[in-house]
Amino acid sequence: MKLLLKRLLDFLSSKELFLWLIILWIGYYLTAAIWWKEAFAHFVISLKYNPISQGLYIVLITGLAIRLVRILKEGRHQALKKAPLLFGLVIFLLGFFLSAITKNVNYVLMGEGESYSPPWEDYTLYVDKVISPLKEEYIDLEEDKGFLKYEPEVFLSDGERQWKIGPYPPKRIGKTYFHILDFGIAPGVRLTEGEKVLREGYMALRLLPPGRRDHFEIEPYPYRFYIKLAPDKVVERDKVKGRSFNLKMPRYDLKILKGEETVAEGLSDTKIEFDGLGLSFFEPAYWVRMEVVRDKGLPFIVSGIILIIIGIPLRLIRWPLKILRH
Amino acid sequence: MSFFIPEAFTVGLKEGVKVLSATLLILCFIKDKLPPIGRKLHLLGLILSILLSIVLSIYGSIYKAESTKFIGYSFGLLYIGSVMALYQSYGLNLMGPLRRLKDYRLFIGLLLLFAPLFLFTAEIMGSLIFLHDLSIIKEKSFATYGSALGGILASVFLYLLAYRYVDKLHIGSFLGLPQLLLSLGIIKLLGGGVKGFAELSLIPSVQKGLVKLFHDMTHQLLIFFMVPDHPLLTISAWNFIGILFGRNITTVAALSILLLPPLIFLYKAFFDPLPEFPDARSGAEKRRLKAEVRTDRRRKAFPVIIFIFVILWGWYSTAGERAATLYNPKPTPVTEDKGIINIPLKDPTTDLLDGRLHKFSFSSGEDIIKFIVIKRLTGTLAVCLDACEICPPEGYGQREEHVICIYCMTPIPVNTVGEPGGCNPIPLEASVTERDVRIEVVEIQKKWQDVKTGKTKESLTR
Repeated sequence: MKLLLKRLLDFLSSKELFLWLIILWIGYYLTAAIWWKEAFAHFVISLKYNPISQGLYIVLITGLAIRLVRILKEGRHQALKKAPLLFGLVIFLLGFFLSAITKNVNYVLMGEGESYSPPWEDYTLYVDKVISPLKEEYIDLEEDKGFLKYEPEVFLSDGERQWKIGPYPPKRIGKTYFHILDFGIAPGVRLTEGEKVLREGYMALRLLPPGRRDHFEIEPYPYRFYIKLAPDKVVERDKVKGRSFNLKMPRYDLKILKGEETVAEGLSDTKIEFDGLGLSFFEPAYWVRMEVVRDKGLPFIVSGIILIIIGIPLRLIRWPLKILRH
Repeated sequence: MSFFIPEAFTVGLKEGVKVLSATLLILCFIKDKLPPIGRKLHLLGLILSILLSIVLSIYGSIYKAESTKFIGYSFGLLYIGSVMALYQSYGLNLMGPLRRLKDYRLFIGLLLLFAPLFLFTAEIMGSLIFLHDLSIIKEKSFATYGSALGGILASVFLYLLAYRYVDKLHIGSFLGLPQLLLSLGIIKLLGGGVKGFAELSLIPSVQKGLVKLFHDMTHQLLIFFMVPDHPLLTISAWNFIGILFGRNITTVAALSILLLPPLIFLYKAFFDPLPEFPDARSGAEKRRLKAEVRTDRRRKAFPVIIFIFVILWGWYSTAGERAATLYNPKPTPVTEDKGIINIPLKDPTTDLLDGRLHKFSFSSGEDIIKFIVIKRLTGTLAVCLDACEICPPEGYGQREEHVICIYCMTPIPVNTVGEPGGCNPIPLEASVTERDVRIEVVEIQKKWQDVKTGKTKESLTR
């Protein structure tokens, strides 16, 4: 029995098995890349759902771990030379695996005053404030400089503590990481019939960069509202004309369709009347799209990468250590 | 002399040189290992491969895309096989109990019979389809096929010339199994393209594949670290990420992935300690045996060095080609307004007068019709369907001053875009004002219908 176990451990930790697993992966990647195109994504998905991929992956990690234990038994110098790289590789692969099978990701659209509770946590977060990073004035001649003054930020609180969250790095709250993935303008929209307000609120739309058109509908009305930011004025630089957009108090270019027919179009400076109804705009709010992630593998991945970076030069250095030993 | 004749000749020459040089290497390898039956089996396999290619090119031309994929795939498998053989030759027992198979002549014989099918069928098929398409486009079948045959005959002449020197150069002594597989890989890499002058070698495809691997791995790391894939980051952070996806880093990384196994082999060939030969009768005999091993290692390292140089040369010699790679923009969806499609000449994201190819897509029922707009060198705009009257509608890309048909890779000078005929994109009637381009939906639908039903040529000649 002991002999059988030794043979099994020798087989699992053998260079031949390691190389075969690498070659199998390369063959799989080649097949997926040529015939199915998105090979790496395919691999990550197969790691999550395919027991064969999972089994082979675990065999790989087990084999490397056994080799690591044997190296540590060889002696101090060998351990110092080989162990960090191998240890880092084991940790990284383990983290990758954990991440593939346990990662939870949610994408949440949030504005000021809204709340959100990750399904795997027992707290609720409230959006205290969204800081708009938009420039007040955007001129399309300066397209290469972008339309942001700085990065967007959002303040979340659970009633006791407050966290400031930006695009990067993600902020950890409990077991969950939060960061901003996208940002946009939510025009304040008011639908009226005479003096009566039928509907009022903010519409989270993709209107950036200026010129981009989005559309929305207001239930139960049979209209589609196509909207884009409209320029305030025309500017001239070096005899080239451009358009200036006020991003703090934007103007909108609107087109209202009922079925395929255009019933109204115009600028938001005044109320737009159509079929006895009126559409007007007030100061916009801002929305953020947050990526909310729980990833048990991330700490392992980070530690693994650090150990690999330390381990590579230690592995490559040969002569000085031989000199040191003698 | 018309351009297509040298192209057909080159295709014939390339295929002939490829097949015959691979054959020469295989025959050198098996020379002392197998009786003449081995050569006959290989020759039979070659004939079967050619016949199969001809049949497939006639009846299976719809599988052209699959054959192109298989060419890249077979190079990859050859490369993996050579790496496995390299490590096997250094004492690793990768074959396990199967290593005894190499002693079985039946197994070797079957390998020799089927190897040409694996190595050559897809490429010969691809080249035959290319020649067929070329002969149709140029409407000169005899000249096209005749030129290709001329190229093949030239390659046979070169083969017969080389065959005289094979014994003198002792080529077989340089070839172990890993070196043979690597050499076959070089041949495939240098001559595996099936698009005539547009793509003679496989190097651009291999580069693209490896660059994508590196990009995918980098992208996966960015996903792990939750780096947003959106320019909300400060410019410095975004620029840092941009470096990882930059051309230089990805080129070097892709090259490193490809060259790592052969470099490890070379390192072991030159720096691994020699065996001790404890059974040697004297010091002189020991030294002689060691010298033999050292010489054999260096001989066997020679094809690996050639492989590395070929890769480096091919990688960087196609840098100029990469600088002028096909620009194929994603179509921008457009909608119609009272039967007219209006496209502004200039808006924050698009400038139709910038000289670049612009693509648009329009949904008409179940069809998605694509059309292109490009400014000619004369300053006027050409508006055409993203399809020609001859080839399957795979569309067009742009390379410098030409618009290129993606299917047949025919370059069309930008100044002639808008003129009907040949491989030119089908022109659309459009009116261009100071502010926009206007196309009637009926015009697009009619021309698209003609393409679908194959009536294009007829309607344009009326």
